[in-house]
Amino acid sequence: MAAPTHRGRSWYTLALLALTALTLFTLDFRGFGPLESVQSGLRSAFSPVRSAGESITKPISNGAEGLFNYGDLEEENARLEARIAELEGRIFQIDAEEAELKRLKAELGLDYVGDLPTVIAEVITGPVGNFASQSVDINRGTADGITEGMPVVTGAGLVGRVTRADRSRAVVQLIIDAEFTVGVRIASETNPDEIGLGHGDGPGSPRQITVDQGIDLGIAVGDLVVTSGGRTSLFPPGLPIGVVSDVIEKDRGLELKVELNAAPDQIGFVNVVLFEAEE
Amino acid sequence: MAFLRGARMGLVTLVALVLQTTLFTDLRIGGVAPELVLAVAAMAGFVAGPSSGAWAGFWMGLAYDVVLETPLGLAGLAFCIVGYVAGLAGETAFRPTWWYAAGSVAVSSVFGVIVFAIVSTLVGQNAVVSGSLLRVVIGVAILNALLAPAIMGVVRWSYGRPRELRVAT
Repeated sequence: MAAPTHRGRSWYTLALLALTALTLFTLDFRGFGPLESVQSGLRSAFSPVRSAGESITKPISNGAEGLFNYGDLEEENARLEARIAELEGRIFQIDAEEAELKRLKAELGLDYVGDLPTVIAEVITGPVGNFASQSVDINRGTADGITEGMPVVTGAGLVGRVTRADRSRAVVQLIIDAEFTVGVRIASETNPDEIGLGHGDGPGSPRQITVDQGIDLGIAVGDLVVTSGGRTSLFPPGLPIGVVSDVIEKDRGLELKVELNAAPDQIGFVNVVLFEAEE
Repeated sequence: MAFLRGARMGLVTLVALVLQTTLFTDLRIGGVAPELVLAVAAMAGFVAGPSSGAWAGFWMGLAYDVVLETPLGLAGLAFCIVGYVAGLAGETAFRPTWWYAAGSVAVSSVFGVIVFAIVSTLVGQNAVVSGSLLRVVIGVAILNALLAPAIMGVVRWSYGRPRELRVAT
């Protein structure tokens, strides 16, 4: 006869904990200040423990990476060799392409990241588990002037933005995350001021984002895509994103597939642009 | 005794969090990482019963929420349900074996990932479960089941009781 009472008590415990979790969830969702402060404090306290853990586990994960992914590494090696050959073949085209890019930049009046202060950071860990968004941790934080919302770039272009900054590390949401949105400008030949809204396609498409475009004004494959900027935008104008790789007609307008200049899934070092959007 | 048990579980949770956020960010098979914290919560239920499992899952989930970008309480809710369900599974075992524990952790992990995905979708966090849900569910179930025998020993130590002494009521 003890079982029903025992089961009833544990059911009551579950209900109580579920209600507590939902209450915390609601408070957090509404941005309850004290709760955010507690979380931030706990993250800061956990940060050195995690860093110590990283230094211990890194050799193990490196070894396991080689062990489990030996086939992948061989494939990657072959792919890189082919890539080198391809790049060597293209090296003579680079001067011409650079000249073309300079001409387009001059025409479009792009401001590149070089004009803004940046902080170089190393990517220390990739996405945690399977529940986190497509994000990486970097080894610079508020102590280096980094705050939430700042754009993150590599030499090839935009790769993400800072979504959380603790004292000595920060979390960068990658441009390929499905929740990532960015205002873009498409420099088509007929109209260099086409504005659209880009968003990540998730981990299934690690080198591509999608841009929703209302009207077809002559956008073509190969058109350059950069951040649009704007008074309240999180990004300064003119950060390179990629090139249009496909133009798909939809009922509500165009859907553009944009091949990213940068490779967000393979970054080792990044530059955080110390740019803060206007309130 | 309760304090000692809590301290041990706190230590186990901390180690699980460190491993989850360091070693297991790189050790992915088919793009899926083991969910160690989820597996420990499930095992806590299996070893100590539904009520203790729910408590352990709740605290571990909250800790995981703090470390992740997810809203506080999301993993707390999912993991406390997982601990409870695994506890129910543990109660049905007269002679728990490692494979029964591994199976329970696998089923509980499936349950946990699905609950997490449903709750996160309901609150507009569509991208929380990365990649294909089916792939993640299957991958996490297999990987967590493989980790289960090792986790069982650690969790039994933290509760200070040999699992064999507890039988179904």
